[in-house]
Amino acid sequence: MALDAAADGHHERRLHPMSWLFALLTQLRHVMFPLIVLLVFGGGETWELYAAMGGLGVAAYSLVYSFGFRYRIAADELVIREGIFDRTERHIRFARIQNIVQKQNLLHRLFDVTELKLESAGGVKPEATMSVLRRADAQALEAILRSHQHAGDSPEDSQQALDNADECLHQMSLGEVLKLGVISNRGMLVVGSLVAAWTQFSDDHSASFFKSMGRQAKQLFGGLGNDSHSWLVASASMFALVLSALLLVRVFSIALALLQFYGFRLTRHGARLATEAGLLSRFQASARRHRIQVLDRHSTVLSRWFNRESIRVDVSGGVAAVNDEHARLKWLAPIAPPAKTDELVNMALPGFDATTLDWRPLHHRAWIRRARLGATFWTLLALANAWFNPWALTLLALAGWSVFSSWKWAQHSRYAINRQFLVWQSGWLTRHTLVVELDKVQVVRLQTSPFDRRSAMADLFIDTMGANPLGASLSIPYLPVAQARALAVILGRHAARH
Amino acid sequence: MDTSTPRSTPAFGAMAIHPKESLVLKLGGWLMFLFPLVPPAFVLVAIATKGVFWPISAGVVAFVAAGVIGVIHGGASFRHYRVQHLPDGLLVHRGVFWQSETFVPKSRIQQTEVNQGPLDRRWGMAKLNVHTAGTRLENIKVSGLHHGDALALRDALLDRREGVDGA
Repeated sequence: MALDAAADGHHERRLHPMSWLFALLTQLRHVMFPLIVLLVFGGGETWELYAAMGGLGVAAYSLVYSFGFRYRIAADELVIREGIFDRTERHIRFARIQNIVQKQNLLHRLFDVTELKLESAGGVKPEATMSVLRRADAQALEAILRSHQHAGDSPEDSQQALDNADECLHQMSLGEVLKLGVISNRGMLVVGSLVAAWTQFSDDHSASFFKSMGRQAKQLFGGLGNDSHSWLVASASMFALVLSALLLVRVFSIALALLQFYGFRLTRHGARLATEAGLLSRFQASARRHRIQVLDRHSTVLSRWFNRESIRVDVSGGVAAVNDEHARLKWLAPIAPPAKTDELVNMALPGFDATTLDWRPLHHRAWIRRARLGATFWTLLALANAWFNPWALTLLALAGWSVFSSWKWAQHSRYAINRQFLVWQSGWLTRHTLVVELDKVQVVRLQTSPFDRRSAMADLFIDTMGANPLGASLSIPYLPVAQARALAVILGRHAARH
Repeated sequence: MDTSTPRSTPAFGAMAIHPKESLVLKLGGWLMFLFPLVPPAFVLVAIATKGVFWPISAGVVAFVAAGVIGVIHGGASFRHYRVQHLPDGLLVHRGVFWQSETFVPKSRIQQTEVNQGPLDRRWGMAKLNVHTAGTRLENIKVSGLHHGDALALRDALLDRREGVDGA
């Protein structure tokens, strides 16, 4: 059995015999484009030839490299020997491995192999990337890593590990994944890149993109329309165009949701949480529950219509993986009903009780500060253009909207702190609730702009490990300055003690 | 002249900032304002007038103006710059218009390093880089310290308690 074989520490093991193929394909992906250009447009620029040749050289190297890769499982560490000219032997202690990620695309699944990445708390590169292992070997290795890590867990967690081998906490049916597609706006990215590609490759200039779209829309929907009704036809076809674009975004969103989240499962094994998802490429990621730094529970207008919320977490780990969607555990629930998300939050943050929090509002003038920029901009634009065209005054509606939405935003935004957690809830249409354990705070920064100082406000920024640079940051704006300072002192003292 | 003070555990409280830091900040301010002022002045005047005299004069005026604004801004940022060594960490005040107070708990510091450029060595000045495991503020740079102070502060900030890994 694979597990017995893997547990036998004396045997050095190799990667799967087909590893060279995956190494080759990974390398070829980088040279594919110049290679195609070379083949299709034959004899093009010389740099393409050089690039392709260089790429093939790298591919040949990685091919030999994958043959030289060996690993061995010792008592409490993983020993990896790799390299051709520079041979290195690395000893990775099981206790140091924080995140385990498995990736399987269609080709991996065809050969029943998987790519395994092990990550420790810091550093730019993963501790080990094993591409590719037999799936049974990878499962065995992961099982060994898990069992060793329980040694360092709290008694309570170890007890849980004994009680239940693999407890499923949340899973998404096909219907839920489709719902996620309808709710999410991921398709926007695809439509955006399609528009970009069109402007790059079409004969028209990019500036005339909308004109040509309009023309085509007229042909599609309006036929050859009567001249006297051309205005009506144009606006109707424009409406149809926008409607079909929205529909297209939805279709792509659903397709992407299916690709990414089909068969989503969140499981717990002792102190480790693991997720698994994907239609064609399957990704498995696991991390220790204690490594969750910030929990972000959010909902949009659309998701609230469907009575759904989502939970994303930041898990500490290496630097490089921050931008990679699949590099580590990220979603506790892509979507789930609020009752379920409550349950998951309680599981992920033991001791967190949202009902006993002492909520505090932002500064009473926060909405004015937030509205000011948008309101000023639209008012000036409206007044400046009203000189030429009185209809421009309708832009004042946008100024009104800035004021109204800022007022609503401030009404819905609040924070709370207790002995263990800091909670920051913000937003009106899109709502985020960020929860950070006080122990996870790294650096605290108090910021004031001249506008802040005039109204005695300050922003509080809290830095944690593993934060996503594009995600919602833990930054609480428009606090009364005395409260912000008090919070900074509490957070700083707590962090200094722990 | 070596202005570095003898190396000892720095007292808690505000750290002395090297007087030359003022010069560094003023020069930095000048460079900061050169870019947004000089090219636009040159280009705008070149469009509006003929010949090279006026655009070049406008460029020179903008160059001097950038210097004046930069020196004023640099002086102000020197006055606002404060580094405090606290029993449980480091507190850094920075900024003229947009001001920040950054607190790095001692227990969260992963690594510290002291850097000196050629001018720093001449003046006995040093920069202290403090690294944490954070994401956006993972590197806090403290410039303009006396070299001896920087070394002492570096040692004082490294928490040597058992089992503290800052993560």
